Amino acid sequence: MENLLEGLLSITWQQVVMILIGLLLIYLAIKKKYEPMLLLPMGFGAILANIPLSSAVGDGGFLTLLKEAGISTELFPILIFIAVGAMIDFSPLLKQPVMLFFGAAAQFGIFMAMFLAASTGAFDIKESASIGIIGAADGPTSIYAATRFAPNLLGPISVAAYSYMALVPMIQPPIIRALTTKKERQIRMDADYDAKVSKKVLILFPIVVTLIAGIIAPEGVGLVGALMFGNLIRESGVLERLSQAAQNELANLVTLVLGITIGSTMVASEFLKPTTLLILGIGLLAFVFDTAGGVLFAKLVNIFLKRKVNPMIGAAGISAFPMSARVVQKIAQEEDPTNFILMQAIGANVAGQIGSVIAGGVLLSLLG
Amino acid sequence: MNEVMIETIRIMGIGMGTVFLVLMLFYLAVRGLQMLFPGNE
Repeated sequence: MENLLEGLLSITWQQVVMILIGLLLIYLAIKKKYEPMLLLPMGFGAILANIPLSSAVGDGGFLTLLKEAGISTELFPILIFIAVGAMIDFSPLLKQPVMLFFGAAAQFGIFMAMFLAASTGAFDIKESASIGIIGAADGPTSIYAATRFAPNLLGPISVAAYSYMALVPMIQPPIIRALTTKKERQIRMDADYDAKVSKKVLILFPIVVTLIAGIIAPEGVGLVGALMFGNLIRESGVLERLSQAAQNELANLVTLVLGITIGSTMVASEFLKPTTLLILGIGLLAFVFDTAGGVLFAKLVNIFLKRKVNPMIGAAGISAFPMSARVVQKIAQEEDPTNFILMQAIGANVAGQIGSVIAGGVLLSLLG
Repeated sequence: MNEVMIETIRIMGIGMGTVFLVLMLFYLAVRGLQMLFPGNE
């Protein structure tokens, strides 16, 4: 009888709070549909890890085993990258490669957030970089960097990264409106909808990107290489079965264990600290600075261009695909129902997916 | 300003610059590939 009551008697208020946070994540996933594939398993993982005397964590616990096998080794984020690479169609970007520059500008939030985190004095430089990468708007990159630089902050960084990605439709519009005039938001951009991209270019692109990024930032080649390997499988045209497996079975299986494993790192003693609130706050600012960086870069470019670009395109240069491009198109149509800039926005958004991985790789190389 | 902040600012500058440099190289590579293999081939 005593054994049965042991759990109840040893529960702490911190564990109760963490279980409530787990329930909140599950609620947000189911009711609000905020990144349900990740937030639901994370919420349940948090509950499992915070039940007193839980056998799911600790010596021989299945969540601890998964963490040691898949997170500490960086295997799960790498497998997710192969799956993501197989899902990405780079042709909207290759039709308008100039969009790559917007994918670079919108990584500004990563570095600003890193600066903010370091300036609080609560984090060392590697922890600050991991917090900054929340601004990559790219869950696997955040997990990869946090595993490498700040495994103690993996829980809050992952929660912030996935939560804010889901909140992009709420975070970006006020920033875009504050930084642009109505006239700027109404700028039309021509698109060559019939432009074709050669199959050879589609195949060579992931190889060339891997070589360039790998030579400049070798520490990040795991990230970029996995993403581009997945894409090469997709574009090769001879591995359709593997491409489908990467896009479906691999993505689903790894996502299934990734979320619950990350959730299990949200133990009360690590999560319930003032630094968690700081991370959540700075993570939000990272998304704000990403958006501002992209929009302001587009406005800067417009000073030198005869045919202006719609500066909202800059905001689509973050990695949150395709939410960010949709946000930009929605605002453009609110200002002028006949204005279609979705194709350009998708191009910038795809560029953001590459830009975020490159930014992560660069930070790994600089601090690794 | 302490050493950590100075190092952070240094990494911000080099990091952002490198991201732009790498993506510019991608841009040039794509333009080169498109010249070699035009879309209408």
